[in-house]
Amino acid sequence: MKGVLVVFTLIICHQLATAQKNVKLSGRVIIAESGEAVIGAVVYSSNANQYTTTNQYGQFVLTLPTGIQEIRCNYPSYKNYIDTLHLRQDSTVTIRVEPSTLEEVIIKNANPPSDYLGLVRIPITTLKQIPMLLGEPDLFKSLAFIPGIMTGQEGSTGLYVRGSSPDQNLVLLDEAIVYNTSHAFGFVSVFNPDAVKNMDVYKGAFPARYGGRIASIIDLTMKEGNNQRSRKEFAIGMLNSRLLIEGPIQKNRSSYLIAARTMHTSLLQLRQLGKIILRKNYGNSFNFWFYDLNLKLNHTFEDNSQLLFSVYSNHDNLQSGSRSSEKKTQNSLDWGSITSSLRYNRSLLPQLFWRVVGTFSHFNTQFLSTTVNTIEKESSKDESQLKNSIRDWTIKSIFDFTPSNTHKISAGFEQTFHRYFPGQLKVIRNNTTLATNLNGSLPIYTRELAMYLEDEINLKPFRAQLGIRRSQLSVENHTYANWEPRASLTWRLSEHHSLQGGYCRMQQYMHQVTSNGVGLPNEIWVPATAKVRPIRSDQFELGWKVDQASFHFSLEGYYKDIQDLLEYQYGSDVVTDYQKNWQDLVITGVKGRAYGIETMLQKKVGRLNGWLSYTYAVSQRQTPAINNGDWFYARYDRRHNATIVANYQLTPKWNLVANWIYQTGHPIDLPLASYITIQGVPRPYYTGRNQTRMPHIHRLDVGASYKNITKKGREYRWNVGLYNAYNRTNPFYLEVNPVFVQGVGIEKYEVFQRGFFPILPYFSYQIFYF
Amino acid sequence: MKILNYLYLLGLFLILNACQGDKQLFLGNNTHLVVLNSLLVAHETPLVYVGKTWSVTDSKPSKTYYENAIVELWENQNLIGVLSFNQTLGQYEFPNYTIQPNKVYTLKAFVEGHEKVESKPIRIPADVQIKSISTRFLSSNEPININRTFRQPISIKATLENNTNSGDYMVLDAESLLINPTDTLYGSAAYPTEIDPNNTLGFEKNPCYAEAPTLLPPFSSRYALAYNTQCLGASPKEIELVADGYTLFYDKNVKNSSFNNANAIRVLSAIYLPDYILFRRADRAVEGSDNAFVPTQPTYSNVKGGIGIVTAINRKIQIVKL
Repeated sequence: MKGVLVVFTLIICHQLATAQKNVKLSGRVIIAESGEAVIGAVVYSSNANQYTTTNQYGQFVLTLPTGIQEIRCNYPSYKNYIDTLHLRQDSTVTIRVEPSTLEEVIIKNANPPSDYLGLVRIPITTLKQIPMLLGEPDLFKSLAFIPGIMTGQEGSTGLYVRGSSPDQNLVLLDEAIVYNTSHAFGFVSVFNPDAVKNMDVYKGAFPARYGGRIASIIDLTMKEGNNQRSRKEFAIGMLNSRLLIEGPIQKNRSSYLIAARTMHTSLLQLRQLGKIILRKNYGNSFNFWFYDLNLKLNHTFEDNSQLLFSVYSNHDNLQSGSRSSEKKTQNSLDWGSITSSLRYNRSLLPQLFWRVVGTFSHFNTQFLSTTVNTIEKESSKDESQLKNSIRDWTIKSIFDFTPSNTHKISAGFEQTFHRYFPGQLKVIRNNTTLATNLNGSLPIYTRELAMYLEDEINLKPFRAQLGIRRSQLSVENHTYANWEPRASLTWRLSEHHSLQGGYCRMQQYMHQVTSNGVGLPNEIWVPATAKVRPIRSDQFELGWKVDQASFHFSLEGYYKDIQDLLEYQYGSDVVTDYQKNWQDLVITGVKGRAYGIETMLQKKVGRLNGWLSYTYAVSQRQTPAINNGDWFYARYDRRHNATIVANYQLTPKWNLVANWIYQTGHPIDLPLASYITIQGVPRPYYTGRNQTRMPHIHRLDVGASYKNITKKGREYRWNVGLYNAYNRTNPFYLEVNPVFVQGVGIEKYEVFQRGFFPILPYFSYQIFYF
Repeated sequence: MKILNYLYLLGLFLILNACQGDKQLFLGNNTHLVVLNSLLVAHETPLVYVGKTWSVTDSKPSKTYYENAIVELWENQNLIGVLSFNQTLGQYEFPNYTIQPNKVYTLKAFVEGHEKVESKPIRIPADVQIKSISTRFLSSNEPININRTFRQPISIKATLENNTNSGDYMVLDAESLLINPTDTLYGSAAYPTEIDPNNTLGFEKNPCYAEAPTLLPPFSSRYALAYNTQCLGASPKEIELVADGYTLFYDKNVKNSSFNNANAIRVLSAIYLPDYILFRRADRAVEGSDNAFVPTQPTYSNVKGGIGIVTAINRKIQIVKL
């Protein structure tokens, strides 16, 4: 480790010494009409043939020779920015980019050169166009059209990245961890697409600044709010409605953004919900609803430093109740997250950028069942309550140092205080409290610490990202500490071709205990403990990319070795086995391996654009406690995954979209045969875990959008389409039911394929106010 | 507007609940295995089932067994004999031989076109030794640790010697009945006092307890609490059961059933090998919509070359007059 530090120090000294001949051009790239910072824009000097990309705050630094420089800036769907500067000394500029006209978009709709290994950055506008369930744009589900990323059952939002489980994805919103990504039992993701500005997805070659999960990093940035003028968006669809309000608090300096989304049924059934709560009605009642809310404030000071504050909340609630003259019953299931972040950033020097971030995350689920029996005016109350939660406080400080165009150095420190509460239990019988926390799953406090150092080295034709992360977990008087080396190398064979390779080690100090992976709130977050070790993965990858102006092609292969995964013991479940500590219900030390090949061909320009992708992937697990110690396919194993996304700009007002997806069915337990048991009755014969597969899934979705301007000058948009256009019955799960015959007993079993979504037409309407 | 609301809700409900679930799948017989099952009971003649598998979605065949298999009974390395097929039972039997306690047996079955199927060596448990047994009527206000109502509770206490291998299970079951002049048609089942309404023993997953079928008429349809001897140490185990002395009997003279007070208790005491308990624990197939949420356990099998269970018990039945 000391050697690494010495090398970094020498590099920095060398760069500072040679930097005297050049000057620094630093600044921000913002959208002219809103003042929003642009993430991932390419800023380059055509004379010096040097380029860089903007960071999460729209900032950049370029080292250029003194003299006249032509500065250009590219960002998809925005006009090319060109300016000529006469550089004599270190300078700061603000680049304001303006939206392209439609024709310009068609001619040049290219993404920024995403030649970082493992990084996927697709514009939010593109992801929003992909038709989803009931026409609701869904950023998470859209990611399933990217090679290497798949969803679970049809309709669910849990992402399986390169054969890993959804809990192995680190989801960040404005740098705060979001633990729950599913509304409505996984059918809708929790992120309001109108409030999100950027989404970076890393499948591998993780930069050292990220850690804590082994499969992927999904880094979302919320819009900051328009600091030029007030603006409103309203959208109504079949499932929910969305509202966004943004505007300046102080023009050019500060702005606000409020975005809300709610399910319609909640509003239509408010009266009924009230009756359930007040217990004023007789009979049965049922209600389900969800909402999410985004709030963001930001201010830019005179010295261009920035203070940003954001809050995000999502919540789901399921209520059912019944009432008769003698008995009142009410059941409720609640789950939701709150995250918040406060961030301050400033340039200490033109080439040195510092930021400090404090975040808060909380996720909890609660099941409550109450029954009140009234007999002859005497009431007795039975109540069962089961809660689980996770709460984090995080502080981090990061320095980004760009001494030259050859090096981009980043170093940081972060500390997170977790509180896990995997099973708060309360049982009341006949007005008497019988039990609280019977299972011994008392709160567990942990402290996670990380430091990192990384350098992006550009030595044409090579670019390397080297990094090291030191992570540590303190739990129950036990400490786990690990080095996490990260390295990736890009070799530019020509202007358009590059070869890439990478290695990274990741540590994950938490687990999600789940028995189904459907996206239900019985998935419980638990920490690594003295008994349950953290997960570790080592990932190797190779890639070849061709990036022409009109198309992009990529081919990547990977191999992941995973240690210390968890599996449920047969027949165990954290919820139903609430009397036991969760640590006694799991199999520890499970090994995993995943490997595959991913390819993508993208047509980036023209009226017809889109991409084809194909993934071959294998994901396996091994433990002596399952299938006699043989390797078995994980639930997250999907052998073949193919997608087509096509977008056709018919006229300036009409746009047509279509997407098709194919996935091999996931491994499940199905009986191989029937046989007579020792008790003389026929029973199904199950050989082991995940020995058979679900039927495969494929689906075509088509849609059209029409946009125009109202007489009052407001832009509006209609979206119509068909989900599952050829009405394929895609399986959600398989049901095995015995068929009884009088006098014979079980005659046979019937296996049914249960699917939720037939062909579903949809429409939505969106209007923008200024 | 109200109608629109209802229409909207109805539409949404129909869409979201429109399970296209009536697509039925027909699975082939992916494995043609020979089934070998036998419960070897000490002091009784052996009965062995040799059968076949069939597709889970097909109807049960009229004959699930093989009639022409060669089934051998071995004691250690010595062949005891070849069993003959009993058409009535659909099983193979060895009428002139009784299974002996403390001996180790192996069953081998040969079916044409299939590989040999062989059980693991099965040790027959030792005879059950009851150190003491007593019965008494309980008064109505005496505490009973089970959530059942008894009109006439009877306590049955038996102390069983732990004389078997560690890991075997001990079982005690009882039934109140009326003997002389008329036999009981349905006796009242007895329940162990260690089971409380909240099942804090968690005997479905608890390594020290299990739910075991009593395996003998009239107990065959019932389940008793089985105690893992591994948790008992060397000491004898005292087990208390409670039965209702108010029992249903069938009067042959009037050809009618009616209630009356019991005058005897039939007691079953037995030792089970752990294989039977392991089979029972795994034999909880997940059915219906639970398939979406709960993983299924693999079938427990202890035979090589096929599937099935060969296990053993040793049991004793006695009648104690009240």
